[in-house]
Amino acid sequence: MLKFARNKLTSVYRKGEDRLAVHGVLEDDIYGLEIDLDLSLSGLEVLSIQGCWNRMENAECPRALPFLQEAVGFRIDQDFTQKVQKIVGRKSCRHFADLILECGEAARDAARLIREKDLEARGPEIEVEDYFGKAGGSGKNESPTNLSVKERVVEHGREASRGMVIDLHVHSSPASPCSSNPVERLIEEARAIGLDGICLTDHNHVWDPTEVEGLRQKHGFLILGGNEITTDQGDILVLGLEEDIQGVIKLEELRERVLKAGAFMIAAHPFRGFLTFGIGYLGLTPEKARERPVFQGVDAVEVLNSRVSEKENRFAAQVAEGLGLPLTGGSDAHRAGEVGLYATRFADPIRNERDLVEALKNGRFSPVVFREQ
Amino acid sequence: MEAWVEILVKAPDLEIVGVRGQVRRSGEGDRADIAPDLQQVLGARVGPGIKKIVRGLIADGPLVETLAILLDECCNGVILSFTRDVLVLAPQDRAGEKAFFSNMVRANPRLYNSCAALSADSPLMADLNLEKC
Repeated sequence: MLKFARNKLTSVYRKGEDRLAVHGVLEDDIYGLEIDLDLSLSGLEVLSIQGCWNRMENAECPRALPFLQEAVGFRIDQDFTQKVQKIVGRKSCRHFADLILECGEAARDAARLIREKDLEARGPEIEVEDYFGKAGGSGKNESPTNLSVKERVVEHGREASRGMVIDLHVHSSPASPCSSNPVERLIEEARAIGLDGICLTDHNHVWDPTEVEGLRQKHGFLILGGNEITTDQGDILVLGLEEDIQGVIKLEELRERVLKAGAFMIAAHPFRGFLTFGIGYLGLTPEKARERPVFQGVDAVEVLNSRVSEKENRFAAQVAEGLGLPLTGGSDAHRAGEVGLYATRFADPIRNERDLVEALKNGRFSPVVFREQ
Repeated sequence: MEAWVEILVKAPDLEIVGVRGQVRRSGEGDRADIAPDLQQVLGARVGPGIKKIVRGLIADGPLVETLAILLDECCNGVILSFTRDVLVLAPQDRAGEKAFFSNMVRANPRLYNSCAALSADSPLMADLNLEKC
């Protein structure tokens, strides 16, 4: 039985010496949309864009159309996919973004064919740069920040009475491109709401221990360096591992490295988006979910995360409790206003990453809803 | 370029348990063996983050981008087939539609501000009190 079908069609026309016109159509069982793009042939830059809906999800989908203009000026280069998904996909509509990317691919291929034909017509006396384009672009290196460190003692006055409450899952900009706030703003917010500390878990980003220590001293606040690593079994928060892991790693390989380093692994938001269609619909039960390989390869499970539904958090807790795995909480903040929505309360005092890993291994912690307290 | 990819996904976990495909025609050589790259995605689950995982798992090579696009589209199809089953239940009248999408976003907070129709200032979200999002 066919449950779903999607067709996409893109056509590229050469409109002039330096102009391509691209028409894209997407038709599936839910959506119907079209776009017309004009691009420069030489720079593959979006010069204009128009879109229309033929069939849409709800009455407000037309609000997406004006935001398509955000794509004007984009170049089809290595950042094109990310920019289209992040800007057009979020402000406008991800299905339009999807179709723009399809059109971009087609335009790139068309430009390559045109260039090849032009070269054939010009004969063999061609410079390498004519063919591949001139080197350059946006790859400039930013100079490292000069860190001014002031000596200040980090105080945790309340730790004796209520333990330490630390948000174990925080993203900062620019280390996480999806985050909108620099670390200073996050620290300011965390302090204002009464957290005892935050753990920076930027995506596949290793914080320089010297820089983290500098932040601790500068702000007189507990800042910890962690990492959120993408594996084939989903995202894993890793604490205590200073190795820079890029791309996607197999879970078992990460486990080996973590064990070797004496670090700690937490399955981050393990059911994010999985219950969108209802547990009953797919028949996913906690018992079945416990068989997932990810739970054999972690030390704890994040069961309070602000970017998933309460149902998904509850489900994660049911699964983890059934397996006897410890539970943690973290906001997964991408904006300052989200810091501390959820956190983890530790019984032991924590002053640095080593204390954190030790406290996690001791198991004397629990997830907490923090902002509502 | 002419290529196809098929994935077999096991419910309820949406784990990719089978994958196959073929490049029938391409500028990189018609006989490109894509099977080893495709096998890398076995065991991954269709769901949020799958695009990043797929791109990360398949090796570098001239056809990687094409394979990633085809695999992405397969995963999209799986997800949208479920989405369609939910969306057909949406009422057609204005008030009913508003309540339906409000509830949908409340149950799936990641949808909030995920597009223009579900943005904070959209009429569909007017009754939604979602402090956390």
